[in-house]
Amino acid sequence: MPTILETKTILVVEDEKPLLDAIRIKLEKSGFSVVTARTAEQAYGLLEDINKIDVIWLDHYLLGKENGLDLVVKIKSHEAWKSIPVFIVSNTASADKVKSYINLGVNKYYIKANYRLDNIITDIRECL
Amino acid sequence: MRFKSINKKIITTVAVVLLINSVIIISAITFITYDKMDKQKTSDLNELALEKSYKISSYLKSSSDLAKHLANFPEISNWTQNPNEANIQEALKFLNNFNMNKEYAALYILNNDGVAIISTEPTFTGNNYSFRPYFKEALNGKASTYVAVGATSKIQGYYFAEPIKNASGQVIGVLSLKLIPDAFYRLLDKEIDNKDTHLMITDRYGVIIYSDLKERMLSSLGSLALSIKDQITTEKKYIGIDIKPLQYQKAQDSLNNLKNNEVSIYKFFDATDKESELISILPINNYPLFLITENASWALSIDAISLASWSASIILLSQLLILIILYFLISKNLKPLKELEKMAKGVTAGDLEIKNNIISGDEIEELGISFSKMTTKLKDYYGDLEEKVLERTKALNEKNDYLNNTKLATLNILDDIKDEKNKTDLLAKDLEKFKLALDNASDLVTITDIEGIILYCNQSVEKITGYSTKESLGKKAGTLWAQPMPTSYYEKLWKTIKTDKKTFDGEIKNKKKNGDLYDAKITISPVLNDKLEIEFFIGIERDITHEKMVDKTKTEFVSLASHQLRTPLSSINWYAEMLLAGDGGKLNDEQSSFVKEIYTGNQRMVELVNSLLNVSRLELGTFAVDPEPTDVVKMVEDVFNELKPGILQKKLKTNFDHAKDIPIIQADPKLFRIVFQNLLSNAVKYTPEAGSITLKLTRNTKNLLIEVSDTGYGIPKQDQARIFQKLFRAENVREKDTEGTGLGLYIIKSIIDHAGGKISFKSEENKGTTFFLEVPLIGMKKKDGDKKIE
Repeated sequence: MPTILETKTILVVEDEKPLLDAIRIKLEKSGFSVVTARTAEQAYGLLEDINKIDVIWLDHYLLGKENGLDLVVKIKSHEAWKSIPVFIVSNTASADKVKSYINLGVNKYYIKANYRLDNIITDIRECL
Repeated sequence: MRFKSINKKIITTVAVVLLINSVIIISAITFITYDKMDKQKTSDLNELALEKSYKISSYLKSSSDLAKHLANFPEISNWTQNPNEANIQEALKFLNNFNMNKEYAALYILNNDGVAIISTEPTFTGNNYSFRPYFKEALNGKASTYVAVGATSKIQGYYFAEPIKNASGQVIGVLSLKLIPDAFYRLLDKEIDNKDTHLMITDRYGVIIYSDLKERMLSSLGSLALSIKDQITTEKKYIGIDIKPLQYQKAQDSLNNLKNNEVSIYKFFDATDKESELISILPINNYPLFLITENASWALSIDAISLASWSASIILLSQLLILIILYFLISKNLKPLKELEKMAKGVTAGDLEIKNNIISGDEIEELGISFSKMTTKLKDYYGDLEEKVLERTKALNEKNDYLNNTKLATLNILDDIKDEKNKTDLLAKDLEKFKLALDNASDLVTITDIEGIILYCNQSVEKITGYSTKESLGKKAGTLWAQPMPTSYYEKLWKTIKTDKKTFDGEIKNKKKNGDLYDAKITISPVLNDKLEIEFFIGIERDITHEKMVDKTKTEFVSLASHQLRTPLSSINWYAEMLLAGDGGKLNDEQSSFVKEIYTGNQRMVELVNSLLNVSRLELGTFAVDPEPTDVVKMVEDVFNELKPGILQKKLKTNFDHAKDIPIIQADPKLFRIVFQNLLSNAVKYTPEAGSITLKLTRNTKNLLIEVSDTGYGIPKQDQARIFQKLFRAENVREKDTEGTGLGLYIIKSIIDHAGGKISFKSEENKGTTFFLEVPLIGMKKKDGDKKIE
């Protein structure tokens, strides 16, 4: 595990508890400062509360009324947040959704089941 | 027909008449000439005969007179009575005085016994001639003339005998004269001036004793009667002579019936001489001799013929002259007629411009002038007529053509009608079938007029919309069951079918009679007439509510599968990953290997789910094709990288050869990636350790050419045909490797087919396999779909 000089804060938005835990643990082990949310609302809160969110890990389906797409729309339309890299990690891969995300300016779209955590984390790290 | 010219006709007729005339004239001349000449000849012959007869009788008379004169000499009587030497010498001297011309062969005196006592011809002296008739006759006191072949000389002789009497008138001997044999020749030869005329002298029996033709000598005129032959023998007249008959039987037969000095003339055909002859027979005055004159009558006829031929020649020549004159005369006078004929022929041939050149100053010229006038009139009339005929002919032809065409057309129509009837029958049947099919079709079929008024709808209308057929007919389809759609939808619909006159395909929401909504797929096509005007619209509507439901269900399943299956798989994946990474504390080797198994198993599960999802999307046809500029070379490199763990693990050698001109193509990168992923992962999976994998990328003008070869297990021959079938796995790899879903090649083939490409392969078991792919360089067509292939 390489030593990170500057600890990056990552917002992980994932509704599935086991997956959220796995992601959190792995990220923490990888040297990230992790904040988690299971709904879009929680995510807004965290974005507003924590001044410095370096990167967002986002699932499509979320608990609550809003999904990942709604969240991205808000983030990208928010002056302070729109430059935050967003990585979509979801198992739901309908074409229009993927396209929508890409069009909104997310960094990458991963299908959960097809990727290892460390692969995604490597990508995120490269982006930062 | 060829007409004879008048000229020829006249000439021929005249020639024939003249010829017949000539023949008659010549015949007449010939006949008359012949007759005349015949008579002339006969008369000539008669005269000749009489003349010669006179001459002969005169000649004979002179001899018999001499004999008589001598016999009456008293010295002769004396010498006969006293034939002593002196008397004999004196007598001979005396007698010789009368034979100065040597006319006589002998002058001699016979005694009463017939013995020649005195003879100027010494050979006679002492001979007895008592057998001679002339002696006998003379002894009886008659003068006698006789012809015989000399008993001594054997030459024919002419004897004259005269009794010698003494003073008392008693016959004491006979004085005889014998003419020389050619006495008659001397007399007569010069008399015959015509070679066609012959003279003969016969004795009383018809034996020729003189003839200018010597070969006839001592022949008889005809056959001699037996009695006469006996008589001749008795008389020893022609001792040793075989008398042969000549051809003059008629003359022979007439000898006994002749009167003195009367000429009998016979005309007969001489078979020996082969000629007609005239024969005259005349008893020579008081002598037992006949003069026969012969004249070849053909000679006479030759005269006639020659006369006739001369006259004929002259006549013919004169007639020829007449003909020639006539010919010129006619030719000259008929020349205008020729001209007239020429004109007539010209007119007949249609030349109405012909000029009248006849100047003959006679009726023909008049005729020519009339003809010329007639021609002129005819020309005028003909001109009119020609025009009229042309018009009429044209009209007639047109009418004829029209009739022919009409006839043809009628026939065609009849044929057509027949065909049409058959067709119509067939069509009626077909139509019946179609109607039946249409009536019972599950889709709603409507035919509307241009305004959308329903003219026909099938039974499905009730099932789909709830309205009965009766309720529907005559209504406007749009207002009856249509649920208002956005205006743009209708605009597009009407533009397509009415303006563009094309078929409109689309989905629409409609309302049933009971108010329920339903989804329908509609197809509306305009039906155009010949002028491309719209006559009807045919609408086909299918209730796809159910289908939509099914679709939705499937989509939901895919979504479920994606989400609900993958989420736990992700969970297993990641926790196993972390365990292996030692995030939960270091695992011992055994633990590590167990977790690895979990991880690998889970990976297979993920793959399976992915493949299944892809297959279901491919089969649904709902996957999207989203072409974008794709760098195929980079894509292949990426896939190789992804497969690196497996490649390294099996120590495989990999080659990637690509041409430099591989363009960026419009392709859906995800679909393309699946193709490469599957091909290369198969190669890795089914190639034993230390084998090699090669990917070649080239292009031709149209296609991108991909060749993936390995040195792997190969595909058994018996399995090669089924390799692209869903879930099929070849026998050999199934034994070696439990992994593999049997979906990879199926998916590749589906994608390549969708892209308009081709895939094929060559394989040999335990040697390797090479796949050949062709993908059009124009790239893939964009296709909207619900799902992306993952």
